[in-house]
Amino acid sequence: MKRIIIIALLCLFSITLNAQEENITGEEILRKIDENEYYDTIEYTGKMIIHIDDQIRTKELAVQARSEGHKALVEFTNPEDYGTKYLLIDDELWIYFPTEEEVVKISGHMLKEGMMGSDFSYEDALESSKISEKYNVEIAAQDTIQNHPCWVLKLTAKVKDVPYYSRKLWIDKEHFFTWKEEMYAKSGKLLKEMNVLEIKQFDDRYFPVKSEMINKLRRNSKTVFIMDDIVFDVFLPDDVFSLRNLQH
Amino acid sequence: MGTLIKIAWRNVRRHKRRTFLSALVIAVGLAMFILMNSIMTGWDRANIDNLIELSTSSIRISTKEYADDVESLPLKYGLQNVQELTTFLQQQEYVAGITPRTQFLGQLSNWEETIPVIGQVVNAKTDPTVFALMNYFEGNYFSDEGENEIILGKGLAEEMGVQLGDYITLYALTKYESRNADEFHIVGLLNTTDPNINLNTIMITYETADGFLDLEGLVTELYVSVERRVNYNLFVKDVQQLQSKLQSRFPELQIDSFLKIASGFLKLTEQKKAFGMIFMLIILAIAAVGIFNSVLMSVYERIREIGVLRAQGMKRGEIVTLFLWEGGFIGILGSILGLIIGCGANIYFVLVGIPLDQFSGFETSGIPFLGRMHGEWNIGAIIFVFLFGIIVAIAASYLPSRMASKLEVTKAIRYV
Repeated sequence: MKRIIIIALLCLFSITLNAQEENITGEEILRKIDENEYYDTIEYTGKMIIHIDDQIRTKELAVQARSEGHKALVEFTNPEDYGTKYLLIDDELWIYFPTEEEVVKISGHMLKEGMMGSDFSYEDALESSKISEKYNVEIAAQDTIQNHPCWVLKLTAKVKDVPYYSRKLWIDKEHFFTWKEEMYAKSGKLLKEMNVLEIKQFDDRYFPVKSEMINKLRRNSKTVFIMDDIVFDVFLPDDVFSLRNLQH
Repeated sequence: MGTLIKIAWRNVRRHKRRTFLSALVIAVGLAMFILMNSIMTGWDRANIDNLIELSTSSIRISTKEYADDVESLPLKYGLQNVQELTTFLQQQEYVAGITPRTQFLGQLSNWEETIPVIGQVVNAKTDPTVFALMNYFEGNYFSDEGENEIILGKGLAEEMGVQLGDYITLYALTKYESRNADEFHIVGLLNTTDPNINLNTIMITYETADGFLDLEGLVTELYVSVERRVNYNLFVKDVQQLQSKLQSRFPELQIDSFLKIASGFLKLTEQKKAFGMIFMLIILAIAAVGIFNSVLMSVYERIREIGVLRAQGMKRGEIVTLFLWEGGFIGILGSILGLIIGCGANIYFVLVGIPLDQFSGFETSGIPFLGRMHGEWNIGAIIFVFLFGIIVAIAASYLPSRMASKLEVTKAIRYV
């Protein structure tokens, strides 16, 4: 009898979980992604491997970032770009060029250009997490990526000043991180595709550490982004994110 | 003095062959100058006409904010009063056409590669009243009902491996800086000799751009063409007058003439003109040497005659004056002949022109215009060269006749 009761309870629990899963909204999924991927600060080294036709160029970088105020300092360490630094504060970006010893502010349409010749635009790399403010979110389908069940979210622009008119996100149902993203133009043409190639678990957080961005307007054009030596919530003093530090 | 003039004129008539040869030397030099000047002026004018008709128009109107940031072709500084501007311009003298344009940055993609382009949003009806691109078309212009039609520079089409009738993807940012890309039907190709147009430019209509770029009727530039004048300086004056009227009526706007828009090119043209002047001076110097030589020979041939005149009691000063008159007459005859030959040939250059495009290698020669190059009348240069012929002939007579008049009569008579 006890066994029957236990089985019945388990079934009830399972049904409740499924029901909860089915009742979840797009906005809630976005919120859960934020919760999973949120950090106070982060520090890592990384690589951008840029594939254009048969050529491959590799950029190495060291990043320090803070969520509050949407701040980041990126320093390139590969020989060709050694000493080049990016400073992001909110939606503003400055670049320091060591050869010219000059700081240039990047704005407007320049933010839409590929970062260091890659398929990630400055805007892709710097976009703050305010997606739900600018897009209507709906669960369009369910899918599986690498045997992981996913929600497929469809984001359609509420306003006109969005980087992409619509997007599709494949969200891991269990751990709420993005496996894949497709970015569409207003005409419905697919412009870019981002795929997560590797996920790592940090305590209870699942974080994408290797991803690729494919530019659909060109053949054989993609950039692989790899994050190494990730440390979350390190102490970063305020002056790390200052123009003075950028020029040092 | 009257007697001396008569004798001089009689001498000129009596030595017909000598007079003719001396005058011919002057005439050839002058005719060459007139033709070269016409061709060089025509070349410069053709360049400027080409620039105005293909790229700059006579006057460009935009907001001051747009002008400050024109290199990035922003889609955020539209003209608010296009209708008012158009009405004002229609009331002005010499205005031949008015058309709006909105330029933007984009990329063409054939899904293999992307090429950055400058997009021109045009009004299909009014654009040909300002820009002469219709003369350089292959294929069709925009149709009334056509959707997503595009015109490409021919070089750009070749680079992308597409042809008339094909489809190509255009990528650009909308007015709200959102990315957009769509397929466009190639209805026309522009085959100009302006490399900027051939290799970098695409054109779409406002109807298409309203959807593609979310333009909502945004016009960033208004282009005005001023009626062409044969005299370039008068044309420039008309343009400057219209610019000044516009500026005083619309002080908040940026009104630029082609003189400013293409200042770099015009500066280069001026520098080339300076080199051209050196070339012309060389032609004049050669002509002057020829004239000098010819008149000098005619004076030396007549030293014995000078001795006879001196023996008959003519003073040295009178002899010099006599030869100066003779030089003057030869100069006048030569200059008139030069004007007839030079202007006669120039009529052909001005009216018919030189078919440069028939020469082999024309398309790759870097010549910035197509078809025939026409000569130009330069009245100032013609008057100058006419006087030049006479003055050089007189100057050429002075020294040898002065020297001959100083010879002793007996030596002059026996001079061989």
